[in-house]
Amino acid sequence: MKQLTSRQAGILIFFSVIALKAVVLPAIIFFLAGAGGYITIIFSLIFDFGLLLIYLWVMKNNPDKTFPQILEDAFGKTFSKIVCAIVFVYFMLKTFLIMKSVFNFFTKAVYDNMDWVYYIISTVFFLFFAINKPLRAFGRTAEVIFWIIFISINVILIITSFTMDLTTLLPLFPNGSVPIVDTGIKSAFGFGDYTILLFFMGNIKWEANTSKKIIIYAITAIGTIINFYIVFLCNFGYSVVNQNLAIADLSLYLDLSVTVSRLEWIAVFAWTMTLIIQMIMYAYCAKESLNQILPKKIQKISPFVVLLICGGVYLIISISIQVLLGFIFSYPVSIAAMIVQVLLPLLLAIAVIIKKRKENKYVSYTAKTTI
Amino acid sequence: MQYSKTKNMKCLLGKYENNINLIKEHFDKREDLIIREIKSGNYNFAIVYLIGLTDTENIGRLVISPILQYKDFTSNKILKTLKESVLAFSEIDEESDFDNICKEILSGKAIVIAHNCKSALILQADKHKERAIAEPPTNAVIKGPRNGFVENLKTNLTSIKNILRTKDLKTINLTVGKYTQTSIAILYIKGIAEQKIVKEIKKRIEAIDIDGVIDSFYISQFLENYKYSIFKQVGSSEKPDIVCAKMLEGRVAIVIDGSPIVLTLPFILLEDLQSSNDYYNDRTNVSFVRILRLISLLITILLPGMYIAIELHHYKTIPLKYLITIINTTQGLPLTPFLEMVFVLILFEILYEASLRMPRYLGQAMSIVGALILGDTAVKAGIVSPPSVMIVALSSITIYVIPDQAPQFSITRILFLLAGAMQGFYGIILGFLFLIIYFNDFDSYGAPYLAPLTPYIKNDMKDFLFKSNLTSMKTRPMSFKNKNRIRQR
Amino acid sequence: MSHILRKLRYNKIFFAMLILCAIMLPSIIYKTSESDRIAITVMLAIDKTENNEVELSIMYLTPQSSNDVNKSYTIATTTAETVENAISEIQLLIGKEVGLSHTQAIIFSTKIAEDNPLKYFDVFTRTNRLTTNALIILSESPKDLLTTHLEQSTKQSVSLITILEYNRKNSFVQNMNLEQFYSEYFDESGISLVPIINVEDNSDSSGQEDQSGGGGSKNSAENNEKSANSASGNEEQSSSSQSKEGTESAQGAADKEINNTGDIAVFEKGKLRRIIKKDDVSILNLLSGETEKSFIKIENVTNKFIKNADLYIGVRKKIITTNCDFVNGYPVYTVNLSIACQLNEIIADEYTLNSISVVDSQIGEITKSAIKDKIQEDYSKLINIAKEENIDIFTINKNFHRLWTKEWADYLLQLDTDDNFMQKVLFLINVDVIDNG
Repeated sequence: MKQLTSRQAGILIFFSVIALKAVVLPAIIFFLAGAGGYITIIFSLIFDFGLLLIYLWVMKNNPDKTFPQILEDAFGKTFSKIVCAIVFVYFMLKTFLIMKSVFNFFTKAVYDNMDWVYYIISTVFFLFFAINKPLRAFGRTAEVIFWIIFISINVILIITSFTMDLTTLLPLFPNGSVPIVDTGIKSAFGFGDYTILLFFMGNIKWEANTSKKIIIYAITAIGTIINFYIVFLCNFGYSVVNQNLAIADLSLYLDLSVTVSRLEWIAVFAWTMTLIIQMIMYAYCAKESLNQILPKKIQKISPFVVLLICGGVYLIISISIQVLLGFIFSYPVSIAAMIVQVLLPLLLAIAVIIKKRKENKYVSYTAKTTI
Repeated sequence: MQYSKTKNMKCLLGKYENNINLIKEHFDKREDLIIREIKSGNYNFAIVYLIGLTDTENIGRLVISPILQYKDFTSNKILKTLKESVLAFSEIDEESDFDNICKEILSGKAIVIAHNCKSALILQADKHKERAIAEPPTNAVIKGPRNGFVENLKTNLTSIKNILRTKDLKTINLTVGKYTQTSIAILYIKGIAEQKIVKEIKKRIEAIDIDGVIDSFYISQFLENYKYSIFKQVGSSEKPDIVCAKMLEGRVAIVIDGSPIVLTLPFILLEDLQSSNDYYNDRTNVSFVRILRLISLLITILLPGMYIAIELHHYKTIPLKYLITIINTTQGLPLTPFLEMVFVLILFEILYEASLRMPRYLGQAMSIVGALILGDTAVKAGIVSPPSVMIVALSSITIYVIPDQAPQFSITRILFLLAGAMQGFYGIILGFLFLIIYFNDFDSYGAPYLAPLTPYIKNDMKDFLFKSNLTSMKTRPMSFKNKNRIRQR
Repeated sequence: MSHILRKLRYNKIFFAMLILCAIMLPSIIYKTSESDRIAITVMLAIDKTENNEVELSIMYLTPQSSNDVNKSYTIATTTAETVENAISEIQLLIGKEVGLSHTQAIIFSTKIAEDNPLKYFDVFTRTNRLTTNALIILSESPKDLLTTHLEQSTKQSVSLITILEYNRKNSFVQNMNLEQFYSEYFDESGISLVPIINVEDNSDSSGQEDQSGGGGSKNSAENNEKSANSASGNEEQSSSSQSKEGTESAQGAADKEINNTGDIAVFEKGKLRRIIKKDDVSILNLLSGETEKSFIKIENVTNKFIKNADLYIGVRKKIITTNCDFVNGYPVYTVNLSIACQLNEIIADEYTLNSISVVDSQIGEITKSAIKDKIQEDYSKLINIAKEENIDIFTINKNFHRLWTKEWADYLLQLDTDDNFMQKVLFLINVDVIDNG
């Protein structure tokens, strides 16, 4: 039974694009690229969008097959399992990063003291409950909260757009194109938002306008993020590198914070639901990829494994987010991430082409033999 | 005594005295059992009934007297003569199964055992004292029909049949309960309701093996898909117009004898956000009221948790002037904020329970005392603070905007209170997402619990928050399975 | 409800919640409200002592039985090596954690201004304590300003917050907040304009003290002494010591009042460059898009209704656009100003019936011309100050760098030093006056 409608898939894609990019990524990108960081974002998002088109093409040609099945048909079972193992590691890292980001966000923004042990316990319990639900539950949840989040993020952007200084965007390429390209490579791990489509394959009710809907949601998300980065830069100017929690700090620029305190944070909290949905999605994807590797009899343990790794690593290695970000935005990890993000859709596309050729050969062979 | 067994049934014997003895033996010297034996010519007749359940006046007038006056009975046509020429009842059935005969006696019917016949006649002489049809207390309306269901199955079926005057209204009659033998009727409109749902409901009710069914709630628990969920999974109503409207949308109604509450399936959460008033009023006003209900629901479940989260973890979010008020009013209280909130919540729950059980003549006085004690005196005594009393009072009032789910959301708000106390806004966000994911994994006989919000069904959004005009609602809801989608041309 | 409780018993989710509650509830049951253990600070005053130590004063909330906002504050002061140390000392002093989430203003002294204020603000941006965008104010004696504010707000008279709120909406002084200060520090021009609010001695009404430098008047020196004494006393937190300090300051504060001078301090890359007087600031406020109300004073106007009168013109609406162009390799900065004016007041020796007629209170052509001349004059005066002292008050460097990057870079290369870039910039202003817009 198909679990997701095209609208739900589109909304999950929307959340995937905006989730991490409005927290800690802006400060890092502007630190690395300078004031031209928004150009990095634009190029990276466009590049990612190209990968989305490849995914959609693959899904259109195989609406009923999951990605391991597609790989298996073309390259065999062993290859498919190896890819699943790589995908598992990738999503585990992403889950860990987002867990740390959520904790960092809440601790820095709204809590004076947030006990990280309690955070881990409650998060792990919640994740365990959530990742055992079918994909349909996330799709429907995303549908329910979509408008809350869309309106809240746009309210924040609109009220802060009045204090923008658009000349901050100029000049284009202030330090040349090298820092921009360099930042694009280093921040690769913060992108690759469409890799969750791997686990939507075979689960979407594919209609004639499914691709169109997903593209519209993706473009809306891209537009929102670009708008966010521009508003962010134009409000804070070059001191933007000081704002570790972009979305929470964005409304700081209003004088209203002096008289009404940070009441607009209620809108920010609505937005943080995307982070948590994204955390669930990544953990779910990690669990599903582990399921592909493990034999059917012991697949029940995969949620436990995923959460043990996340919770356990968190508890044992209580590294600071700066160290984690330093690791994740280093060249080796970034290049590895880029390889995974780019190669996967290409592999799938190649698999589809190989399969098609095989089928064509079979058809022409059977046609020949019948004649 | 032995029963003759044909076709695996215990049957009446051919001899009159044996039959009487059979009945006496079965009912084991029951004091309210009356066996009125009469003789007309050479033929013996016995009228068997229970005092209190049978209309004895009609027995005398319409059974005993005509039998005594009729003198032309023939031995091989006694029952036929009785049915066609003697007894003046509108409904007379013939039954040879002994167990069924006893069931009918227990349900208040009168049985006529004729001279040496193997069958008995069942007369619809049951008399049930019931209350008058009145407006149900839980579903008061300003405009629209005001009659409600009563405890009698037949009366309730009549109320429904008065509205749905179509041959397509089908009824499936079942009996459940070893000792109560409660009659249950499953009603649906053929050509609109999905047959699979009807069959599933019938199957589940037939599988019930229970001592007794006192109220429709007993049956609803067997019809639920998720046994341990606290949330409502079966719709219910006390008004025939609501039930008929739901049946016209494709739902199945289950009427239970002895209960004024009729169950409907499938159930979606949206049903409880609507009221029958909504369909008898202007749509602009209705849309506004529905938005208010949704806001009330959110206030009910989230407000106490958010207040405690702000007090314990997030004082930064409150504007300074309000913060000063909160700080000044919460100084010197003996209880910590969490305990204070729990204390006030429990007090309100006690007040609610007490007001339900209180004798009416004490009710008004005690409720004033309760409100004063909680509201004014407790604050003045410095036990609780005004903001917490206000928050809980507001939450407790808004809960009754959706009265059918009041107990469920009362528990939910306590869970959110715990989440807010333990983890602040992060806990509330987790709790909210938890609730939404939980609901999204629910379904009621194939209908998603949060339909039409999710999965998004554009057609049904006309009757969601912003109600459209009736003229534009041309199709039946697509939130659950039904047939014949067109309902208006 | 009992049927629900019965169902809960067999529910896995219920048991999971029980475990969670068992782990976390014990710590929550006895947890007091955050506001009980945090001193909610609404204002900070930072000064530098003679020993080069930081003197930090905080005005924080103390619970009262009444909800009167103005009766709820206490001031605590301490000195330490750095601001972070001072915050720790104050925490020890008052027994509560200093919470900066409702801080409305940070007042710093001219001594701090002459040093780099960013040194003293670093702790606020590096940690997550300060979550509001606090306004920053320069004052000769920050602690006196704080004390006077407390005293005056208790009496329901003019308070600092009222002044700041008025400034934000209406005034001739721009409000500067911490984030803006940082962002302007790091941009190409590095110019920040900070308002100056001082404390004036009521009993001594012999004019303003010299505000162009960092010196102190006699009164503020006495106040500094008093505050130094009380700082070393370590007795600031209790109400009895508040009344003690209150007594001291009441004697002082009763004679003091807040003086919103209207002057502004110009900072370049965090260094105090110059204090611009109120009269010179008025043109800046006129050219700022944020101030809603401005006025222009024109002296000695004669027209058919009035003779040799001073006119006070209110600017009701304004549209300001700026242009940065390069003409023949030289930068030209043009301000186009369209203002809708209203004649608010006439100060004359003689009045005619026409001059007092409200219907006829129009801005005639002569007055319009006078307005344009006045604006031109004030603008030129300000440009001259900026050129003399090389203060990029109109953020020329930033604007031209962003809009004409290459040309500006070429222009800078032509100059002997980058600092002199103001000298060859041509400043123009076009004023269009609309009557009663």
